[in-house]
Amino acid sequence: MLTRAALVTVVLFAVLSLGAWSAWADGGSSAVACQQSGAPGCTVTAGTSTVDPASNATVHVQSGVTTGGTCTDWRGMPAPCTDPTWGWMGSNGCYWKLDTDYRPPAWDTADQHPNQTGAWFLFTCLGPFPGTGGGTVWLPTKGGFDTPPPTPVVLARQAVNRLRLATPRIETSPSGEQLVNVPTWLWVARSAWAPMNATASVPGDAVTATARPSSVTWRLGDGTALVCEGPGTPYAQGGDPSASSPNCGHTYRQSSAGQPDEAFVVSATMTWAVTWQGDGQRGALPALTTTTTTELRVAELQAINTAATGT
Amino acid sequence: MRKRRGDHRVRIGRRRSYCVGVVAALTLVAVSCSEPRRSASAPSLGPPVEASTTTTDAENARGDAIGAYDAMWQDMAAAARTADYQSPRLAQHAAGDALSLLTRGVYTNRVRGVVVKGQPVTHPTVTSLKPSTEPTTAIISDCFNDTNWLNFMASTGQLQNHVPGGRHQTTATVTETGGTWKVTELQVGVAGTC
Repeated sequence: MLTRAALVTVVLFAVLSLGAWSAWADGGSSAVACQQSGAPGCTVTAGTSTVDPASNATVHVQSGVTTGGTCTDWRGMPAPCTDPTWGWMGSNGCYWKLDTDYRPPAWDTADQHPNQTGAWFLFTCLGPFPGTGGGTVWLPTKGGFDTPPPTPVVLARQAVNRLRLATPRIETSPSGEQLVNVPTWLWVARSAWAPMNATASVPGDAVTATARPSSVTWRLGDGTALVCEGPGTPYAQGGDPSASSPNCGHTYRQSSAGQPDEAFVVSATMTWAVTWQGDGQRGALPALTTTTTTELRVAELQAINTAATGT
Repeated sequence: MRKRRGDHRVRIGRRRSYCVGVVAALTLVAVSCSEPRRSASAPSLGPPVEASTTTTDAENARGDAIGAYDAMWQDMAAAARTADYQSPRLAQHAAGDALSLLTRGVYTNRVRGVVVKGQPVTHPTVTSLKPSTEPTTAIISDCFNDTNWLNFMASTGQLQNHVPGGRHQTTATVTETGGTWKVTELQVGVAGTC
């Protein structure tokens, strides 16, 4: 029979164990252990089910992926057939998606796969702890392997990752120092104001993502934030210096004296609307932004007047 | 945490750390460091007893194989700390399938936004050497411990999840080519296998 002291010890131990448990995370070797063919298996959690990576060679897509039904994960639990981040459900109960970005470094000579038909995949065994288990594997796309269909959205996200968007080049008029109460014209260089495309493809399927500039958000350093729906209008040489920009301008009411470096920190953030199309479908993805920051000095106009009238 | 005898803290810039651990375990298992290192720690008993060439070869091979194995984990820890799968350091003590495994593992972490911090601990022993004279292949058995080498999210600095690290039964093949020992095959079991 347990004495009271022993009972307290047992309870305390349980509490301490729970506390310690919550401070742990997957060990660093999980990335190695869980991707191994021929390894003694990979438990994704401390449960009893195992995912046998050796079966990757014959992985196929679960029928629910194509019929729109329900799928079963590695634990035998019902699970969505497609995950927006991790791909489609494979026969091993883990999510699969093509990885068109992985290029093994040249010194990794055993993993180069020249003249082989196949592709890189990332598989992920979701459970209570998302984004763990699985790994990066090379699969032949013929011979005993039923190619899983990447969803167009998965391909589209890969295409978006390949977009290299231009950063705005900030232009102002006056071109250097600004003056209090004199309209400042703001625009970004037209060279960056153009759609950009990138494509992710698998044999027989390709999705193109397009990013189009839609607006520029200016933060002018004096507390003003300004959204211009276009790149802004360049100031024409010989124009009226007292005129304001027709669509993207600001008039400073205070000088930048006393600011760090005696200048306002000005940023221009371009917002890019992102769409994709391919495989007979189209859609939109969250907008992207690119930002450039510069400094702008703003001087008091009457300082010049005083100097001019003082002679 | 109690430190077990023979623990190897895998640490950058400590390539001979295995020597300490092996010597500590010397009384338990009949292995030793390679010849010059052993002479540094073994008691001097006058002129050395003539050892057969085969024994010396085996001792050297054991030391070199374990050294390569520990250095491989050091390289892995350095690359995984920043999820730099293109780090050439990965190839310094690993080759073949083992190198691919490490590289893919670090890449997978990169895709998932995971970095690994802390230090793994090894307890390697050589279980087989072939051929018997001038061995060029060693099989290493290890109870690899990543209890203090854990996954963190690079973006937030938080632990990736609440899955504990643990002890992993690990087998490695270490091969000598052109005087250099590298791990060529690596199998890491899941946590709790040793």
